[in-house]
Amino acid sequence: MSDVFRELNGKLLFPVDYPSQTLLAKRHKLLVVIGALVSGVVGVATQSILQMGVCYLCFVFVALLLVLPAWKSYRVHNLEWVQPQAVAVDLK
Amino acid sequence: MFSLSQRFQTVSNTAVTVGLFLAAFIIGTSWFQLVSNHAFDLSSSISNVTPKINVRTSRYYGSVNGKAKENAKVSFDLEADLTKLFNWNTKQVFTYLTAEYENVKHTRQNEVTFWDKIITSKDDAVLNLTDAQSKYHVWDVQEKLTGKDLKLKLHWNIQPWVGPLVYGETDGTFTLSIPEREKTEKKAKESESAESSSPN
Repeated sequence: MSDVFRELNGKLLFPVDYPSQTLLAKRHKLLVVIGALVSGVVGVATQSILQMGVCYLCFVFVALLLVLPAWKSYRVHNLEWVQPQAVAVDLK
Repeated sequence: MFSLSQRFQTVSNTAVTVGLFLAAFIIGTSWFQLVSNHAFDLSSSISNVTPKINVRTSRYYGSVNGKAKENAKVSFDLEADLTKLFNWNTKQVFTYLTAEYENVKHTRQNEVTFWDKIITSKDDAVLNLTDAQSKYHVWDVQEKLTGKDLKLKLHWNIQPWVGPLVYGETDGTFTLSIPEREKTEKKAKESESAESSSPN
């Protein structure tokens, strides 16, 4: 069973490059905090906790949409691995 | 933030953390609204309180081993406006009429509840009761409840959507003195005998 999960995890990796990781860490925090501020204002203005919750969840959903998928722009600076080179070895 | 699961964990973690601050914000603003609306200084008017004493021998009415136990009920008039207790964080308000009295040794205040009501809407928050009957039979640990001075008060308790319960009481009390049963019975007997002995 654990092998299945391991395999699934490997397929669902969807990696992004290093500069994008830094960018996403900042971007999702900013979005969620702004969402909290806006939904707080909406909640007080409408005097409804339900409205506030819906507003906040919308912002969280947008943050997830922006951060979760490995969009093309997040995969520009892919790592370039050093290629193995054939070396002649003298066995004598 | 490398893989999909890491990114999901990070975003959900941030959302929950910021959500807790949002909850604190709700609690703070609702408290501020209560204070600015003077919700802790609400007034009420309790009047026309009439006690009714029954003697019970059932254990469902506080009797132990069949010993007589005095049960009290009251009828009362009540006016109170609890609309100020409703704000965006109020789920419902529980309001209850209590009576405070000293115990036999005068060392402690006992408190009993005669009546209560759950108010779920701001539209129902204006109480205007006339000759309302108490909901509960009340008895003391001691045998008797008569001969005591009961101080009636209307309390309220806000049950919020988020945060702790908020308790308070209204200004305006009514002191009810329940006369001793023996004295009242004696008086009644005396008046009966006086009526029967008097010539028609």
